[in-house]
Amino acid sequence: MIKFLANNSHVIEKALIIILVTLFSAFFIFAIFNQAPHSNELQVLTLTQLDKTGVTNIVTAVLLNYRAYDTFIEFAVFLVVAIAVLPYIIDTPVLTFTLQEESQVLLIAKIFIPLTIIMAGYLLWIGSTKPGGAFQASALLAGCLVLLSLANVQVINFTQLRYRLLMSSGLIAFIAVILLLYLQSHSFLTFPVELAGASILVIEFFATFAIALILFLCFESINKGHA
Amino acid sequence: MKRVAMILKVEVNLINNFITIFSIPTLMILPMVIAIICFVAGNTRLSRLISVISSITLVVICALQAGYVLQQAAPIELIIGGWQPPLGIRLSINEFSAIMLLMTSTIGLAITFYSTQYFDDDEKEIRFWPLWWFLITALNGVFISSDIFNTYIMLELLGLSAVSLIAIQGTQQALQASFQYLLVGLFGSLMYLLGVAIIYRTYGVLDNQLVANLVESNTSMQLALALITLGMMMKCALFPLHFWLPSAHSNASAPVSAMLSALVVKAAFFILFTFWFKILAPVVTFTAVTIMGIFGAMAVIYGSYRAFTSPRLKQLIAYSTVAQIGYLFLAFPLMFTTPDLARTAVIYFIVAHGCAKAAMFLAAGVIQKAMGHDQLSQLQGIASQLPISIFVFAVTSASLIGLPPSGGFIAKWLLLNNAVEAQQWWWVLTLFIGGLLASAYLFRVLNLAFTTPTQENSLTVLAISESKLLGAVGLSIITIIIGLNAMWLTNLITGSY
Repeated sequence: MIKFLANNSHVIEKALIIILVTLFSAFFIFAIFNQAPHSNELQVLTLTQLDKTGVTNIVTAVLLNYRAYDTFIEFAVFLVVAIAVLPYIIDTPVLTFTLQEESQVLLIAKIFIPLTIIMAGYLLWIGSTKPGGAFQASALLAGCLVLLSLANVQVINFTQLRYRLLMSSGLIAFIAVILLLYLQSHSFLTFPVELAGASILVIEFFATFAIALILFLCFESINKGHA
Repeated sequence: MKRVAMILKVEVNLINNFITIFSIPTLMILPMVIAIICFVAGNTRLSRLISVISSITLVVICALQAGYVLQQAAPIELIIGGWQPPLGIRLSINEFSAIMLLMTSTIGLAITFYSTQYFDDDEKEIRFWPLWWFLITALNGVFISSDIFNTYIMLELLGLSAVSLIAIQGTQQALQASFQYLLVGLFGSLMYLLGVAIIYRTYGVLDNQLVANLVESNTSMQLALALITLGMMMKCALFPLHFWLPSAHSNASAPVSAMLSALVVKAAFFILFTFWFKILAPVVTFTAVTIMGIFGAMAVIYGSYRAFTSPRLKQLIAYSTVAQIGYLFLAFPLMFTTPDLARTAVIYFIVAHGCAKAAMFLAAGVIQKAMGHDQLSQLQGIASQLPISIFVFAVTSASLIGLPPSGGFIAKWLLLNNAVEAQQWWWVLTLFIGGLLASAYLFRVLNLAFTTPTQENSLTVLAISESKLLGAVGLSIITIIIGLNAMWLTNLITGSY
């Protein structure tokens, strides 16, 4: 009996896991459907207050005004990731800026990068009215950097002061806005209606670069790890 | 005379104003600004200087807040951005969180001071400071948050900065331990998030108070509580899910171990406690709390046993944390019958254990540095070489065992008293066995420290300054003071409910 168990331990383990996961899922589905969802009063509330937020897109309003505090901490999370990953970049030597032979990737990069940068700028700008904003724009910018990196063009030396500054710029801009608004309104993270749109744009502008750089840093840490 | 009184009044008003309007955001923004400066400047000297200064500032702010909250017996609240709760986020500091914040800042100051002299490798230290300050930001954030989703984001910040802090040690074991910790932390956070999602789906609100007002006992809330409990049990390493803690806490550098054991696991416990007895209180049943109590009791016995058999000093202390976390869960079944007493006991225990464990890890760090290792078998006779470290170790041991007049004694006495009052005497047995086992494993170390080494393995101790232990000595004195002034503290805590 014991021998049988020992020989088939993998199968038994898998079977147990499958049984447990199935039971859990069944209970989960039962519990979820047992209870009616809420009546979404919050969305109505979000819409009625929208004209006081300085933006007209509901998602941007939630992210950078109603629950701006969450986004603020989220920027800090990004920076922590950057600090954690950074040492693994420093250890590897940085190639100098060399345009080697015309590879296909470089060709693609030359065509797409200018377009993508314009696209990123557009996404950032329309964030206040339509779906878009800092996160989407920074993903595009990071894509440009990744394309350059694949074409063997090294443009960023992460150890330099200015890149450290740029990576923290999203958070720095956010803190600066918070402190300036504090002087004006004596309350934490309150955007006055007339300044809200501009403040949000400033934060998003810097956050775009910061997040793009951090995303690229994460890519590079894996990329260099393999090389 | 009148004028003096008037000036005093104005000043009191100013301080009150500061506390109610400015102090809560300062708790978040100050450490974050320091973190950014440390990161961008990348200069160890500057980092040390501003770190010590801002740690002291934080202690002052937290002391003012705690004084205000305990005196007024009303929480400090802040509605962010002027958006009332279902729409916006509310922050609040109640008695429990005020004491946790004060403890965070005090232990933080002791460890910050220690860290200014701990690292002998500049590169490690440059990485350490920004992450350290983000960790403090996250801890403050967890304690002041009054919104279940915001708590999740704080947990994320807390988990990631803690993982990175373990990883800067750079050794193979540390990297492995931090990776395991990362996976455990992610699992824990995701379970928590799933629980939050279920609560939001059912009631459509995220504010602690609003959820608490709406919640009733039904299957989906039971599921939410189970998921959140699973996630937080993982993060605070309660017995069956403690497997990651010993390697993570024993392989990190001493200041990081101290912070992880003293505060980071307590943050997860704080969240769990808030959910069980405040937010989802109607869902909690007697069976559930008893199960948690049994897990706690098992943790006490298992953790103590493993501590007794560990070959390394830091591993011993890490297993002792597993055991001490168990005591906190013994209060769960007691919360059901005598909530006020049990809450006091829990807060008291957290403070006593936090201070003692932080100081103990700091002392162990000095011992490890001086010896070049922390194998218990070769620690004979270190008492003569490292008197302050052993002094700190001995005093904090007394507190962990629960010998009078330490804070640990009072904490255990409160639990014991409480268990008798709640007519659940069987928990007392665990307290006794745990105390005996704790004395067994801690005296094992002290016994070795005071024996004269035999000729063949005479001590080779590096000349190392013990002056960095100033903060640790301070913490061990605090454990004694809270033991001697027990009535004052317990009255303060219970009086404010």
